[in-house]
Amino acid sequence: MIPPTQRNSVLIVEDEPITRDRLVEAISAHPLLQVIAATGSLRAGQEAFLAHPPRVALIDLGLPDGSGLDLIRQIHDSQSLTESLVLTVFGDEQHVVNALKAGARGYLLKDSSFTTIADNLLMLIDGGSPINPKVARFLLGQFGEWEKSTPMTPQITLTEREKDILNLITKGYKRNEIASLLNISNNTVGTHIRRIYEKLSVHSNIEAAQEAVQLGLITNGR
Amino acid sequence: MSRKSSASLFSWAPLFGLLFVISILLPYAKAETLRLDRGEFIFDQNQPPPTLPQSHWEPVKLPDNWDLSHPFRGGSGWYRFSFTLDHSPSDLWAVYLPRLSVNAQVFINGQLVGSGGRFIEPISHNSYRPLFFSFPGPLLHAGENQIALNLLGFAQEESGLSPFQIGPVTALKPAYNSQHFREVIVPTISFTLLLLLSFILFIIWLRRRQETLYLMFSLCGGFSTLYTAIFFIQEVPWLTHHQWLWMELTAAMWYVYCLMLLIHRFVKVQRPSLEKFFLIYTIVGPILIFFLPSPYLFRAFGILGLGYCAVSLYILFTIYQYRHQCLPSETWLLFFSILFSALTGYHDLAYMLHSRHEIPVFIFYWGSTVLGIAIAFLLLLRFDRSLILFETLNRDLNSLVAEKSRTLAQSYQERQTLEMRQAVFGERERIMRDLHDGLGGYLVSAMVQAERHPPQLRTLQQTLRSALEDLRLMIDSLDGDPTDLTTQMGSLRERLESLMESSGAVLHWQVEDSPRLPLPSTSNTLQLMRMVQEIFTNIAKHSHACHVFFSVGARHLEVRDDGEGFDVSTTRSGRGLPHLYSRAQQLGITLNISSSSSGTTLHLTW
Repeated sequence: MIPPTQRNSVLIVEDEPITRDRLVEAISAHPLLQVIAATGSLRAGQEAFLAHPPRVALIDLGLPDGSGLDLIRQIHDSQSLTESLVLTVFGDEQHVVNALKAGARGYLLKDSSFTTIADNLLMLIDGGSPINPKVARFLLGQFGEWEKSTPMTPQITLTEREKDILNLITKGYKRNEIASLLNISNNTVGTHIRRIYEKLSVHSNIEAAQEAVQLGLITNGR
Repeated sequence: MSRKSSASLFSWAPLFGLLFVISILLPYAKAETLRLDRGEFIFDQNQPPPTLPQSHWEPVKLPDNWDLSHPFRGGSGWYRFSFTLDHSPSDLWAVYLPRLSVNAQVFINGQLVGSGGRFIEPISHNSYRPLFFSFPGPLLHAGENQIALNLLGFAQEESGLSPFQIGPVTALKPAYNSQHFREVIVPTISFTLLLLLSFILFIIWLRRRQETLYLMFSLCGGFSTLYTAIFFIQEVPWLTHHQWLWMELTAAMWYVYCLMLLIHRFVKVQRPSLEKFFLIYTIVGPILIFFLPSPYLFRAFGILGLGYCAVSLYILFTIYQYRHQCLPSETWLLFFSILFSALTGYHDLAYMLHSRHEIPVFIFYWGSTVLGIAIAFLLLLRFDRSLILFETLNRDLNSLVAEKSRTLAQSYQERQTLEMRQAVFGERERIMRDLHDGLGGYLVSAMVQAERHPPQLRTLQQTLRSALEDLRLMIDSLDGDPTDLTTQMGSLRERLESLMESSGAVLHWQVEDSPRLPLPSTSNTLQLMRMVQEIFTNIAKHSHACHVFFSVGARHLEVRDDGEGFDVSTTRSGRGLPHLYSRAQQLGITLNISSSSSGTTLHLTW
């Protein structure tokens, strides 16, 4: 038995009690994971995060007192080790992409099986990130547009390898299949995806800053 | 031309008038000059000055008009004048001849001091200009001096000599300059100006043939300039004096005729028979005169001119009569400039018909010049007005076009909104149908299963999972590009994977580039996904396969398993196969199923 202090701490912010309980049950069942708090509101989630920053935070977006995106952003900006996953029913583009832009490291389907939940969390801790074909397609499209419209530094454009990986994900290939197709390790695939997410959130921050500047200029001009 | 600039043209007019008056009123120099008007005359072809006995000379008093003093006589005549001086002058002197006709040369004490030009055809014409000959003062001596003047004249053409002056150049020059300006420079300028205006309006007419006014003006202007040429052109090559005179006076007649045509068009009246009558008059009259003996030419033109007097009166009356056709400013400017022109014409006619002692000054070109400028000004104003009208029309047209474009854009927008609404309606209908066919059915089954006693929990769980899967399929089909079948397939895999896992099979996945349906649409993509989902559900339920191979390409999709297989012919009715076939048919896809004991292959091609 691994002592609780060596387990990876998990914070759950989900307002639907049955889903929350199921998640708690699934995570607690894993020897390497430990739920340190499970809350049903944004406020409680923020307090729990500040009290004990967990290793992983699972965050639902539609909370009764606000959007989970705020918490994801807060965690991302806090410089802590905490990494967040957005909870979603369908893994649809809208939900996942907004969370990724705010700084989430991936997503988790609410009805995933116990093993999938644990696997995803461990993968995150190992430095990988969950992804799906639709998100991959979105990322390819988004970075393509950015490359066309604005000259960018290499840090925020996709490398050829990253594009290859996203393309394979789009077609439904799994992490291990991609690894063997491209002759790399499973972990490397995960790291690539994580790096792509980082680039997305960096670019989104730049974009937001530029928008703010533009708005500021317009306001000053008047 | 804008109204402002035409107004500024008006404001310059008084200044020009003032300059003109000053030039006329310049004081004639009197001091130290001799005015000669009494002498002797003789007809003699000889050169140099004849030395015939005194008895052949007859006394003469200037002005001497040959029409009165020597009717029907022309040719070379000599005048002789004597005057005494106290001392011989040392400075430069001159003879200033204000008026003579047609040409002259001057001898002082037997010495030629100046000539107006050629005395044989084609002769030089000096009828309408002053002559000024300077000579060294020492040519004159103290006591009696003689000045002889050889004059070339024509019978019955107002030939003759007016009093003239002799004196120092400095005393005579100002008067000569002023007269020269009036009688040579001004006609030259007006000739140039009218020629230019006529040319411009002629060019305008060439580009706008329907505007005959411009043609009429350029004709008027052309004839007027031709007539004006008589006043400042001295040397006329090829033409004899009478041919030249005939051409000039004919031009004056044509000028009046064209003026009538112009005025008719200006006030917009049509009098074709009158125009025809005067056309014949203007053609035939001068031709008849051409064949008259030369002494009758001048007088005959005078008589012919009476007809044009009538024309001018008629023109004035017409303008007055139709004054409401034009703007008042236009009418009166035209009326008074024609009146002025007519009065100058009457003045000249009076001289042509009735000789007086003085040699006449013809002033008709003043009238025609003033009138020409006035008409050109009016035409330019009209041109300006039509430009403004054109601009206004253009502006109206533009706003009309803008209005139409706006309406068009609006109706286009309305149509687009309608189309969008229809598209939304179609999409909504599709979602309703999909919900009914998929989710609705599952939920009904789930409810039934939950209501049973005891509830069939295992079946219920499966049904709910199917409901969720179907909902996911729907969301996938709505989320993103419906034609992007690759991503749709990729998304499907996650769910197929868990299905296969639960039945203990391994899924082998192969997706080639961009599969495309024959009719790509959200609905068709969803139908295809449902077919694939159904195929896998069947495999999971019935095949007991260990491996399932899925591959999709641009125009095909294949699912192969290594399960038990089934008899395709007998199982057609069960296992949802008819459903698969009918969906394939709807999508325009060919479905082939082959099955044996070692496995089953489903092949879809499109």
